[in-house]
Amino acid sequence: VPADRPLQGDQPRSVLDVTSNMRLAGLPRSLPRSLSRHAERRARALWRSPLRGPWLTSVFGVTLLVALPLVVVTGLLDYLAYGPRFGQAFPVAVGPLHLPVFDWPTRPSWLFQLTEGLHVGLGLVLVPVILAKLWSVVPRLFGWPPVRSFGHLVERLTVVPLVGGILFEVVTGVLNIQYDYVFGFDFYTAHYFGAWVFLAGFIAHVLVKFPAMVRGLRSRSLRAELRTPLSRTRPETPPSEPDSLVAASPAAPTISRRGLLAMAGGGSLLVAALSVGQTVDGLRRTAVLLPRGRTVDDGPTGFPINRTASAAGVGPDEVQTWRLTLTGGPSAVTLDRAALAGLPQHTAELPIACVEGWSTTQTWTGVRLVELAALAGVPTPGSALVRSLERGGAFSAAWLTGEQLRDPDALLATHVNGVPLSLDHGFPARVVVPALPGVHCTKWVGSIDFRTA
Amino acid sequence: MITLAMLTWFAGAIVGHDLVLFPLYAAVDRLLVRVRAVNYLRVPLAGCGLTFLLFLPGIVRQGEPTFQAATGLDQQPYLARWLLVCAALFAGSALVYLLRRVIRWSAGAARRG
Repeated sequence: VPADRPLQGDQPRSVLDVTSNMRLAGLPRSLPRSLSRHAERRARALWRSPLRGPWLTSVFGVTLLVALPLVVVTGLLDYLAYGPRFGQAFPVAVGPLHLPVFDWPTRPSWLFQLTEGLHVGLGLVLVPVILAKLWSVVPRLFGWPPVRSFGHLVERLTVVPLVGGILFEVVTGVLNIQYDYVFGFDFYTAHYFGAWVFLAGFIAHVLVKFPAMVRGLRSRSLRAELRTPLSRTRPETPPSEPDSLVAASPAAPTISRRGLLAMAGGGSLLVAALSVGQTVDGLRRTAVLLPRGRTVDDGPTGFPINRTASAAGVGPDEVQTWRLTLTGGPSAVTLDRAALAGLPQHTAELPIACVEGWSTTQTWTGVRLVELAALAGVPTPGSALVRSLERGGAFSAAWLTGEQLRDPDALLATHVNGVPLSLDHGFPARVVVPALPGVHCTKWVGSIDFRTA
Repeated sequence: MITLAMLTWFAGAIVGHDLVLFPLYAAVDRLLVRVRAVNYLRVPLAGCGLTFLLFLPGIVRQGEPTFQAATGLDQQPYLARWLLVCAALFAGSALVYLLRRVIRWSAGAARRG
């Protein structure tokens, strides 16, 4: 059956019924009547998919209703993991949009790996569902008249932060994980405030649309839909209300409803298959299109780098004369590499996880931070400021909490996988702390200032 | 601080989806439906489009200096890899099409005796 031939059947002449809607808007009847007839003809010609309808939209909607809050919550947790108490979570100035601050725990050691991995991974996987959901409701965007009533206006306005918010968050997030800063503004600020704009739109939309979604889901059986092939695929029954998603003059289907669901789900699976290697070391090479699908080399220090030594302005000259300075106690203590190697050594298998959604678990060896604190004369540290040799950069220094310093696996690592750190991984010494965001696992550590509080 | 550029990108994201991306893929789909085995083209093409959109920076080598500073690597392999992903999607689709044709043909032959 050619696609452009309308499907004959029990379709009403028009489900748009635009003229009566115009009266609702309180507009004069003569001009709108011709306008609306034109709009109706245009809508009939434009929106012909026999698959669009409240049930389909509700299926995509309920998927996003379950999954998007997870993306939002893990994103906000990542903000907290950065330590807003020390002014090192970005953006720093958030006005009334600050979160209940708590100290980010060190256990389980994969906590940050999980939250950021879920945030980025699930965010990516949901893109096909978001696109499918937008496709399913796109006739609404071009509906005529644009505003029918006050309630309709409110509903339309909530769509701006909802759709704009999700698209903005996806675009900025997707660019950020690939280090493409083409937008030119501060990513953290944009992504944080964008999230709140989206959240406001999301909550309003759920409040307005939840009953319609439940009605939509109840209108058809998913099990029956999954057993319906193309040959038996029919348009949904148009509900009585205006601006239905069901086409007034549907074309013959070219794909079954289950086929469309499989296409959206298959898109998600494809994205999942291409992203999982960012986080799972054994599958690293399967993330063929992402920055973290590659390793520098196959050696023990070949795992991904977050910032190269040359980008950080740290060269062989800087590390040749390296000394570690520990302050906060009665007097400053200075250690060279030999002195550090003479202290008790500890080995721990810990992940390095980055907000860009990638992580890698390696075996680190070095001196416990609490050991260094005792050496500095602050045996029970309440916090510490770790400074890097690197010049400038937003992460050349980081505060650690007392809990992070006291964790038995919190290290100033000098070795990884049995060999000395490479210069790009922070030689001569770097911080590694369980569940600490990667950017706070300071590399090329020059000094640590321990505080009692 | 929220800047004008952020607001522009916010509005641009809506315009980009609703008035550029959607009309574009809808128009391509209208051309595709003329083909009899439309879904064997539609599905791999959607996969190519989706991966192109998501992994655009690497494919078109945008933001290479920051990419290099962060990873110590260049963006050289991504275009070829993306083309390979697309080729694999189309090849997989063609294979499924052929298999289904063969199964249908042999089932028909068996019925005919």
